[in-house]
Amino acid sequence: MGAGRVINNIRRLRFDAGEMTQQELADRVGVTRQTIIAIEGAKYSPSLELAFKIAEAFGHALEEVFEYKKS
Amino acid sequence: MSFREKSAWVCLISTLVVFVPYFLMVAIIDAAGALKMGAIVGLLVAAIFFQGAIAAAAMIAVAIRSGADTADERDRAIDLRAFRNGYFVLSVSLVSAICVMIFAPSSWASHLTLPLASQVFFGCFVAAEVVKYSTQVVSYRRGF
Repeated sequence: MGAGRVINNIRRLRFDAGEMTQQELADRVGVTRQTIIAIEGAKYSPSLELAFKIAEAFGHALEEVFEYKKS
Repeated sequence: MSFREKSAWVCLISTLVVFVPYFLMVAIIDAAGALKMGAIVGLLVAAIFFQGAIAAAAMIAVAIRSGADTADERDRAIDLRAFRNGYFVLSVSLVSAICVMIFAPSSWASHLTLPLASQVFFGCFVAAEVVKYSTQVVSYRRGF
């Protein structure tokens, strides 16, 4: 079974949330801006707890923010 | 670039800048047959002090310019990966060095002095540190 990867819609959701900045999102969920950049660029898969916090910050369900793509 | 990534760069560069010349110097002294414990301890203390001073000064400059931040889960994950890689290099290199010393041909035995053995072991620690900082730098650059 090949490894999949977690993709996300954070960039679009930030835009929908009135161009929320990466720093604003980082402050809301309690991480650094670099971590938000890494998650947004699919370079880092967040923990389940952080993923829930990000979804909560946008007021969306987890699966609307993150998706698991099988390769 | 985050404070922690800059810190990793500072530690990596200061370690290489100080300890590559240090081990070259040790090799030159050893080749001249003058590797004595007293001289090595003096050189070692100077190198550690110099590396600490460079790293501290650079760290203060980085903190003043960009501000220190607290570690989050990604930083901790990167640290764990870096420590794992560093520990792997440390254990493999130490075991290899010990095996070489135990099973070395008799022609080498006369050359394996305590000062040389201490430098080999110290080299294992420095190599592990370099791998640890390199892992941090690569993880921050390429993603984790």
